[in-house]
Amino acid sequence: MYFFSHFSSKGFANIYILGPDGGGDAVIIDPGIFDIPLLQLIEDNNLYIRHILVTHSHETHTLGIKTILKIYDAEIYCYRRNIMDFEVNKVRDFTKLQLGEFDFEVIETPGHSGDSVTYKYGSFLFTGDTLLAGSVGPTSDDFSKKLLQNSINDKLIKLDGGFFVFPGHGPPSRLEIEKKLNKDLQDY
Amino acid sequence: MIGNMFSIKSCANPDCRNYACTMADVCFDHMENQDEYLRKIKDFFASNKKISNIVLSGVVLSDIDLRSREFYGCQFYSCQFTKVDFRNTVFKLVFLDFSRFLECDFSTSNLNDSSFACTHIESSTFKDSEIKRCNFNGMTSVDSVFNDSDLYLSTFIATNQTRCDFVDCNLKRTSFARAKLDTVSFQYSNIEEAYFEGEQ
Repeated sequence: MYFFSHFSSKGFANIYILGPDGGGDAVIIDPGIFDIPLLQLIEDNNLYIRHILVTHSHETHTLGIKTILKIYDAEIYCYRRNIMDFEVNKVRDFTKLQLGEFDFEVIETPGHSGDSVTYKYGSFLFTGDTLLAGSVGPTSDDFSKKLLQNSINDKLIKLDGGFFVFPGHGPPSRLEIEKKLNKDLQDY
Repeated sequence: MIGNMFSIKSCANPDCRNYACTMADVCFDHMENQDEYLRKIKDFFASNKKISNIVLSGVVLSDIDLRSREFYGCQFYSCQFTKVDFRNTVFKLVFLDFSRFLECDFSTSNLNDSSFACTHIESSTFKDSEIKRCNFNGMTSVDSVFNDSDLYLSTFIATNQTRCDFVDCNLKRTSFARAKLDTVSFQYSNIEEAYFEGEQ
């Protein structure tokens, strides 16, 4: 399996790509930008973007979609009904996605935004802005903060500590480390 | 940028919750012949410049030369590195959590999107390196040097640092929240662009 991360200077966000060994249909997660280095990364590894997973619809995680769809025939998956007027495949809690050789499970984690989800693939969690290394994503009001608390407590914290956390911003982490050190979680 | 990602399996010992090491069915603690395994791993490192998809769990490595190696998608969990020369290395999506580094040299390295969380780093140097988006949260560091490095978007949250230097570093968006800093120098670094909230 190929696994890449790419840094988007737009919004300081992380983009992830999963692809099969040797090339083929790939999954891109949160394409907040689509720049030349990202295109080269995809093409140099003989990958074809067939699936676009969106953890939430903020533009720092979606602005690259329009360009991707000009180059690749890709399907979009997210909680909302559409993104930038593009039709999407709606995902909900426990939705299982079989995308080529990659099996994802959707975990609804609202709070940072109403449409936030986490994608689970094997021992990887793509948490978007729900859970970051050492913190959680910002919320707009007390209601959203409570939603985020519930999402993390009811959905993510219960998972095994061995999961790797690949957030929408900042460095990667591991769930056991977040349980141990993340003060935002301890405050909950 | 390029890397196969580690394939993880558990140690075959039913009572063990550690990861099995690459080229073995068990973690290092449960190996019958640790010396032979170390020889095998050292040979592998010596003969490969690009190293990807390697898992080491609890391995103790000392006095080896890993200069200019490129590590992609590796996991070195709870390992111990003593007097290991990591100069000019590349790390991308490498997890070194809970490991110990004693007298290691990471000078002029390129460490991106990697995790050194909950490590112990002592008498080691990361001088003149690019250390972007790395997770050092929960690290304990003593007598160590990060001078002249670019630490953009790296996190040192809840670290415990004694006699460490961050002289002339780029600290833009670097977080030292809730860090315990004892005799730590940030001379000539842009501390106004770093986060120090909750520093103790």
